Amino acid sequence: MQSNEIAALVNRVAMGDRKAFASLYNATSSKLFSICLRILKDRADAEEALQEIYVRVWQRSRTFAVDTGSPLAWLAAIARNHAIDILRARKPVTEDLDDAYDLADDGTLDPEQQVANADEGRRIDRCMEELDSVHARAVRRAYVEGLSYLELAEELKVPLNTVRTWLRRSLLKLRECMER
Amino acid sequence: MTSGEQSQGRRPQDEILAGEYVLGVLSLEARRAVEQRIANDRAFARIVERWQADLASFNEDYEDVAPSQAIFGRIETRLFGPARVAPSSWGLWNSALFWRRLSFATTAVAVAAVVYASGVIPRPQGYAPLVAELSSTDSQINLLASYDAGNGRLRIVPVAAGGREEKSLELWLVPGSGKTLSLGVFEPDQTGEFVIPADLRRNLTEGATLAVSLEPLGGSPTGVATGPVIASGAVRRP
Repeated sequence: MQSNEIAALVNRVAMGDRKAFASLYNATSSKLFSICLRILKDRADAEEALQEIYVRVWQRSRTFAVDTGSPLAWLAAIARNHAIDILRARKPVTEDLDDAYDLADDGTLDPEQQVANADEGRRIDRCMEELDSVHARAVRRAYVEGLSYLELAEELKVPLNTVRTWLRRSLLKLRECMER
Repeated sequence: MTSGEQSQGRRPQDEILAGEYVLGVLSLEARRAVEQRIANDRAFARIVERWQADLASFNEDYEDVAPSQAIFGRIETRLFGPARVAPSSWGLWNSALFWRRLSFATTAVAVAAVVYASGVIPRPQGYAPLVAELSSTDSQINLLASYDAGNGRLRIVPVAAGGREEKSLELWLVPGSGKTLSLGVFEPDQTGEFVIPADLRRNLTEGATLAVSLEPLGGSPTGVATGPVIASGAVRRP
């Protein structure tokens, strides 16, 4: 289904249209279920999560505005956020917000540029190619599987601090590349 | 588009934190703290939104997997209750909050009208109506009341809260099946009455839905709702 058709369905859902909600579920549930399954790695948990996600989709559909971006990205963000929350609650990781962001100096980036929506996908792919391939894979796996820093460190067999530095540096490089 | 005074010179730490949040590597506690900040710091929220859009192409890695058939039924039960025949009772018409607000608003205007009638405030000259904009802090709709002392008529029209010069409220009709239709934009200086074009009238029946969305000034440029839907409700017999 085309992005604009999904956007139209989300808008009808926002208007309380239950038939549109059923169509939206039919069009998108296998994608969102895949997200839950990949992150939670348990079918029963994933199905439980999927229910909560669509309850939120119904409730939050009114906040979706067509011009803010792709409806599928909006749906995927709701799904990923919920699945990751469950995962973190299940397996707490210690991660301190006050951790020193040692790689970032006290400087500032340029004031935010307005980025055209359409090209973002391709631009991120190009920028990912500029990263060290191991780092790029770590970024992508963290996103797709919802891995914590600790899990990434274990999987990549490098110290926690190293993997954290890789990821943070990669994020800055990506942002810098995207703004070029 | 303006970036707002808060985001002049973003801190790299904010870019990293927002990116870490979207990647999902943070602890639950840190995630809650970030969400708190998203709610309170518009500039930071935009940085998060941008990461979300930027990284969305990774969603390609999720290949479709169908959930069990029974799941959608459970979602519907959670949202709408077990009785599947019951008509949807969501939205404006059945929203107690809306009616409370409306009755509060009406009372406020009534009080104002009584004050004028009692002569506490001198009657204005000529036919210029009295107006009041009724608002609450958390609503995207204000109610614009105007009272014509000459004939005793008070009318109330909803307007977009905040900037009426920037936004319009548009009324939509969602028929039982088929395309959503625009019924027009609420004009603050009109009566709030819409004349439904003859060819659309067969769509405005029980089971259809009326909804109001926030749109650019003058209404949606595309013919479909582009802004958030502020209120909606099913059409039914009272």
